[in-house]
Amino acid sequence: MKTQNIQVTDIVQATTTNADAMPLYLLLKKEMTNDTCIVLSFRDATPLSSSFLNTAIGNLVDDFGLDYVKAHLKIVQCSKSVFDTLKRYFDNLAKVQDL
Amino acid sequence: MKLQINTDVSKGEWVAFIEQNRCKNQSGSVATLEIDFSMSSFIEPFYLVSLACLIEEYSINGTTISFSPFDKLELREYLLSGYFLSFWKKSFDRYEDYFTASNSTSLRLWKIDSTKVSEYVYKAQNYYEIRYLQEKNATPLNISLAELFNNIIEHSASPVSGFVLNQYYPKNGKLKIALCDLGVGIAHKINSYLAGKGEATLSDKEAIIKAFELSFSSKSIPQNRGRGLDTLKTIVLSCNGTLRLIANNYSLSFNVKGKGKFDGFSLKNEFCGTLFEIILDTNAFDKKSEDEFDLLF
Repeated sequence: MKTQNIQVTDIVQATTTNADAMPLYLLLKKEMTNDTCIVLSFRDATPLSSSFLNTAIGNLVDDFGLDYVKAHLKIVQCSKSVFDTLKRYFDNLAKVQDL
Repeated sequence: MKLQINTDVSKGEWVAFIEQNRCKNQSGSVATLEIDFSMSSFIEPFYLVSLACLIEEYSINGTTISFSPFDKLELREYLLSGYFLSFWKKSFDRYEDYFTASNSTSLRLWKIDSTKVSEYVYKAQNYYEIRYLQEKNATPLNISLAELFNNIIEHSASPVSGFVLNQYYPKNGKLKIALCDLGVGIAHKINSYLAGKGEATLSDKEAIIKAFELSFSSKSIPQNRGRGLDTLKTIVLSCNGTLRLIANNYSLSFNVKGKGKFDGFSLKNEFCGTLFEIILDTNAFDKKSEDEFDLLF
């Protein structure tokens, strides 16, 4: 599987709204469609809102399924708060899938 | 029309006052609205943001806004520093030098602008970190504001885009966020959604509690996944905080002492809108750190 490094702060200007997340979602979708493994760096990223994650990650899960997204995504270089937010988001995605 | 402001009333009575005096509840158009603070000694953010919504609704409908002279120096100073008394002057720029001009424990009154919310939450976090919380990470403030703004923008259908006010209390390290809109109200929104799906509607209390349920969403936009208010609740509890929410006929609250259990009471009069008051204890904020973490699946 091909690997692509992506720095979140190179792609989005902010991490608050659905609109902020759209460029990242479109890029991740393109790479995942090509079966690329993405190493996604959150270094220097601002705090992530649920709306941002719904568009950037939630839409991908709708498109490809949670297992596929997890298999194609490595999330690295997160601050503690960004790590906690992402972990909780993915944990809740798994909970919803199990319902 | 003259409005005598008396904040020495309960929050339930206050929202009834706001509702009763809204522009839409007057017979005919109102040429001038004069706000009189002479009966008030202190006014909390909760009261100010809802009053701002009321005034703004009149202003949007062409009413000229003015303030009666009053001699309560401390209150006057507070309202002046927050630019409340100049906010409806034609010459006042609501967004210019928003953060650089202030050196106060409270940020200036801000009318929520959907195109500027990302900038606002980032600058609000920086403002308090630089001035008051040097070693702390104010991410909980950033995310709380983001969730509140997105909630209003995506769900409220408010004729006034809403107002927010942040106030820090250095003596105890508490940070208060007050935010108000005059939209449909959370309870009404939830019940409209349920009715649209042919499901049984809920009491206002049940509907508001439902809104905090993880993965429940009224799906105002397709991206909604029922995460916003659950995230807000998690932050409030992790920061030893409290949350009060008034919408339609119910006032709901929870805090960390009650382990997040919902409490509240029914209102005598309906409030058409949603009013949040959140208090975070900044002593519970994490310290700033350069550490980095990877999330491995």
